[in-house]
Amino acid sequence: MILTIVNQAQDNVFLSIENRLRFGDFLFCDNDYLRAIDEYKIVLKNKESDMLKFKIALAYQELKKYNESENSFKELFSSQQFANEAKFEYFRTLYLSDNFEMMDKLIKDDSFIDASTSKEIKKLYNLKHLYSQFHIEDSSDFFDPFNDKESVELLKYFIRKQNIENKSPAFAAVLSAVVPGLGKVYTENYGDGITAFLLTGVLTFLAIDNFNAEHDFRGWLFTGLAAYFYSGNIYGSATSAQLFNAGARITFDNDLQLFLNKNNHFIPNNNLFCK
Amino acid sequence: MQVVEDSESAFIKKMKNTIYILILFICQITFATDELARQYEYADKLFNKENYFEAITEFKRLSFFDEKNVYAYESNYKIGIAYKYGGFYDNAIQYLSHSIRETENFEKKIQSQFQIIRCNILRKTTDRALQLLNQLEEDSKYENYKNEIYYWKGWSFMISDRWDSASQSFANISEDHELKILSEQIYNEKYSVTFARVISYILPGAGQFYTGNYLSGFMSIAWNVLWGYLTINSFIENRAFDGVVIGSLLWLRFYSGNIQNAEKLAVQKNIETANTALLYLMENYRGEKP
Amino acid sequence: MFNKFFLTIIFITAVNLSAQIETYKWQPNEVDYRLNIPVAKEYKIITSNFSTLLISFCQAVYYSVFSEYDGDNCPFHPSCSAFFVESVERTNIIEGGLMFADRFTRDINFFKGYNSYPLHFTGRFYDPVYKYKLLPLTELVELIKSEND
Repeated sequence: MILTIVNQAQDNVFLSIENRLRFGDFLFCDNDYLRAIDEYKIVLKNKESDMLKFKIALAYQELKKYNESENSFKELFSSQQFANEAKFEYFRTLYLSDNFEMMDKLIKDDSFIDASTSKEIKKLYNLKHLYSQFHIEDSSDFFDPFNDKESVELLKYFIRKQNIENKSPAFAAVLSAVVPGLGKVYTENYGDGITAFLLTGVLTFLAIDNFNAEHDFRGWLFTGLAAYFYSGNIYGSATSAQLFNAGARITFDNDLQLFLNKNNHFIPNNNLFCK
Repeated sequence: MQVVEDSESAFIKKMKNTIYILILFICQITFATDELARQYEYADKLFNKENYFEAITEFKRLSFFDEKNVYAYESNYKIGIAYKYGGFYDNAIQYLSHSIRETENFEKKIQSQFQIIRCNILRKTTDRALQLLNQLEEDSKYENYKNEIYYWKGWSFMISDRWDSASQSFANISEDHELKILSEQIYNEKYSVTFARVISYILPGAGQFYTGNYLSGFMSIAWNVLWGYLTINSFIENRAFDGVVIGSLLWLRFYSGNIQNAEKLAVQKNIETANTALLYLMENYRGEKP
Repeated sequence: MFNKFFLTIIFITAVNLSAQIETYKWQPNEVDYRLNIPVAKEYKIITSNFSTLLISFCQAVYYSVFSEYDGDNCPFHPSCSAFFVESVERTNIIEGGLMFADRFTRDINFFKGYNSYPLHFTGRFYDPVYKYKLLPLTELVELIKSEND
């Protein structure tokens, strides 16, 4: 009996496996993921547990350490208890880290998708394709994984995505070649367009005026300057059309991101571990 | 006789057992508090070794298992300080505020309050620090802590580049306080931006000469003389249009540019001066730092 | 007593609710008390090839002889001359020249406030070179997005 007391006194009770587990759970729910991972890893050395591995992977996901998170989820694919959850969370990690190639590969792989999570995975996959850089090829089954209420909300963004304004840089350049500054007006930079028109106009007038007054050197100087700003404006119109397109896409993507974050990406938030 | 002995020994056995159980029970109780003490000691050792990340882990462990909140103040306070050393000032302030809630001891509360103020100074939210310090100053309970209040006020002023207020605050502690002398010296060394502007209005380039940027001063005066000469010359030669164009487009531009340049250089010099003092405080000052 | 209570309340409400999450095992860090020095000069000589050397040399001369003394006129960051040097450095003398012509036109536009240039922390319009390099659209979107983060 005394021996047990001595024994207990020698190693710290707080560092026992059960207590480490309790403390780790507390840290995990207190958003102190880095320390929770440490505790769980020590527990795992003594006790095999898929739940802890799963929680470690989740913690890495929260810390935005997506590589570690992906690897940890992969290890759980053969687990009995957490295989499906791990697969879904793995897919979610790919979604969060913008790993489109892998998402594409997995969605076509029937062995990866299980019936219980296929709907959620499809949701994430489709939502990613709502961003401006993707083209939705088959729009007929886009809304399949979503319920009616969700579909109605998403439809707004779906239509907006189809109608993102697009200005052709080549057309803007041609317009500016015909009338200096017209390309800028086309891309809705009216002030810049008028300035470009006035600048080339004034320089051309000065060139002609000087040639008429037989100041040949000044004539050629102003001709050169006019040509320089004329071609600069053609180039600038093309870039301005491109910036217009980029701006429209970025505004759309930002709005979409806010909307999706607000709705938790249409994934039900079932918090398994923390209340 | 035999029977009595037997019953006696049975009684003694029973007693022995109960005593053992009692000892065990007492051991368990003392042992729990003992464990907490040991955990505190261990965490504190890590803290003193400046291994702050690990120290926070151990203090968090301590406060998690410390169900009766025996060490609640100490662990929260130390976690706050450790976060402060790591530069996580929001977390530090959060834990320090917890520690205020966990104690009834006035001294300890004040200690935490000053640490919150120091975190604010380090976070460069000096307005917040000054607001808290002013509240402490108005409160009669903090009569004995006046010097400390003035000291941290002085620091807040120094970090936010208000050296004359800093020197006044340190002067409240003592007239020959080291930091009072330092901040007074910096205040005197700094150039007056308004003065630099005003003399540049009167004589272009003068502001730059005042701040010791002789080349800039010379360039400024040269440009202004050149454009001024051309403007006046145009008017003298009855070319009024040229005069107006040169005067408004060039002379005026360089005249106001000279004032802006003088102001920019004065501000720059002042920041450099302040930074020498702040560098001294960082590296060589031996007194208490936030 | 009331004061003490009041003060305690104030100190406790000073808590910032958004806690900072630690993502790595940190070491204690040295605090820097010093103030930031505003950017003093915007030129340096770039020797990567002849055209950048020439342009950056001209800019250095222009800046130190002329631009320093005629006031704070450029509403953009980077300033027009710095833009020119950087665009030549990133592309070539011809494309860089065209980009500069376009920038100059945009600079003399009186109504540039109506264009939605993002604001730089210096209070100027932020107008970096990469936006005018005619990059593929997706790449441009990615670059702007990564900069916004």
